Amino acid sequence: MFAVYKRELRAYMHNVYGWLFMAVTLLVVGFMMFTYNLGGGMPNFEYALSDSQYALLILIPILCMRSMAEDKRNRTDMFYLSLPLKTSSVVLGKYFAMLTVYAVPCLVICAYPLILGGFGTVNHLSAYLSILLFLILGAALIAVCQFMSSLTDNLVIAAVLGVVVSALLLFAPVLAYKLPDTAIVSFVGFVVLALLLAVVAFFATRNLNVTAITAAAVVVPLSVIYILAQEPFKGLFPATLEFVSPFAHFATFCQFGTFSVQSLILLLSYPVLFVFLTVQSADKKRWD
Amino acid sequence: MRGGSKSIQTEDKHLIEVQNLTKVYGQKTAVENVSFKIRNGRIYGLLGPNGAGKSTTMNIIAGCLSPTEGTVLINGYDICDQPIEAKRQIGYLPELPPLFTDMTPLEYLTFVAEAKGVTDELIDRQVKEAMTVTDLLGVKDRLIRNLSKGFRQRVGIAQAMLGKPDIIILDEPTVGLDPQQITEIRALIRRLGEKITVIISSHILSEIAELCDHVIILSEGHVVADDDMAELEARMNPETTLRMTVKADEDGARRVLKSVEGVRTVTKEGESAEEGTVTLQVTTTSETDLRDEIFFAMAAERYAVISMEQQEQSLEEIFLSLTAKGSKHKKEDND
Repeated sequence: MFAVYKRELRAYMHNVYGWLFMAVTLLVVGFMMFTYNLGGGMPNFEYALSDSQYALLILIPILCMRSMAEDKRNRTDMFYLSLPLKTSSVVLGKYFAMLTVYAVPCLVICAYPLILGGFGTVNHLSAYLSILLFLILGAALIAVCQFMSSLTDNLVIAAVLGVVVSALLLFAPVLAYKLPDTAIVSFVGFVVLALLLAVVAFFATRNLNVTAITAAAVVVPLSVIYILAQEPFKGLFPATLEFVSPFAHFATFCQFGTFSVQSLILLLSYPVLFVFLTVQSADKKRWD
Repeated sequence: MRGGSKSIQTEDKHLIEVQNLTKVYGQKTAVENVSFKIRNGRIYGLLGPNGAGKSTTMNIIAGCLSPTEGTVLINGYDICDQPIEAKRQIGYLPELPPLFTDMTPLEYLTFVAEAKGVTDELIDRQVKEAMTVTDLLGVKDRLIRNLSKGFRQRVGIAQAMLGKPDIIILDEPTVGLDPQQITEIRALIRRLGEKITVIISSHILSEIAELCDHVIILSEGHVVADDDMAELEARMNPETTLRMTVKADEDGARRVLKSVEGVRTVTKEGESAEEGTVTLQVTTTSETDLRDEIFFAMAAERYAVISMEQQEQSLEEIFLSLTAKGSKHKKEDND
């Protein structure tokens, strides 16, 4: 894993990708800090980070687009399969390389609350916790976008898929707020989610049987439960949408200072789930 | 054809055992029930027309693809059940060299050595050794993207050598190279074959004939021949054909030829260009070379032999004959 990690990190550092990503991230956070803290006179550094999360919607998909897709395009994915390495080592090596590139600006940002301290009173605990959560949020999005990159050999499509899925995660709470909390809306919402999952399964496997089984595996039990009891469905879909959004948990901490263990578990389960899915997607080539 | 010079002790060992290998892509069967064994210390050629299943077979042996059915044992390790151990025994160069063009050969080979688990103290030595054998030292600090196709192929072969594998598998190693580069790569493969087992796939018959001790011919996903080069040629040539032009009348020449023991048939080959001569096709048993006897028998009758040449089936003819049989069998199976 370490060899792949070094090679990937070197690839980011030897071309414009890595440096541009770090520079723009720092620029965005710096601009927000100037607007809220230095210009606006607010002592809460977490407000600056809360608005900076929107930039991740574009920056992280661009950082991750080449991760798996470029190997597919250049056929170096076959090379990795021929090496005495586990696929999980390759995927994790690439994942940690991207995480390192993302962690560098986060590390630089750690100096900002100290700078702000020179102008007034700053709650350092809250500021540094928000930076830690900003890092964890990025780690979750990197895993999601790496998986999207494993679905295609086209870098642009990989980036677009990453942006779309990240945007869905960002706007899920807004959608949840707008949706009525009736049982039928929840049922339809879950069916739509199941169909989206089936589309992802199709991209991952290019197999119609797997696509149909994925959709059926969710829709059939869901329909049975819905027919038997509609009560539990009331408000379930909006609540689920709100819960699964990693952005919502980060924003809640930044704006209200509250953060639950469930939120932390959810944020940490994103990398676990999506790295696992990326490994399956990369390994699938062997079974094509 | 090259001559083998390995010890009997090492030659007895089977490095790779492919058993009943089948790979199905959707509706298409790429290889079906393919079985063969690779012994130590030889150069093996996997020969077949395009689409015969050569690359699929090589990809399965290298662990890049999983078989639909069948097993591949490499030094006793099953490529599906013990992939890491099995892959340590192999160096693989796919048809397109898997290169990271933003690296220099030195950086790339160091990365591959690390990825193959070569210990830190051996990395420099092995990388230098691989670059020396493949003649890459002069370009070790140039970006791979700026190297010629021949040098890129050398980098690909060098990466296959790292980790000191027992077997190196090269899929169409000379495709797309110019004649000079082809000669150089073939010389390199020959040098590698002196130390370890090499498997090369190719549809270039002359390449296989020049480099390999043993050939496995695939046709439409089936093994149609698996023999040492010499044995294959002998098996495919159960009788020898002589083409000769004699200054004699046809009946006289036939009479003399029939009197030589071992001559099977004599046929006249069209009209002879020179007046008073006759051109004949003579088939004989392959065990004996009858050219001396025929010459002296003709001379005793004062018939002058103008020319006499032995015609054997070339590898090209053997290949065409075997692959045609393979297609025919498959057609019969389908019917």
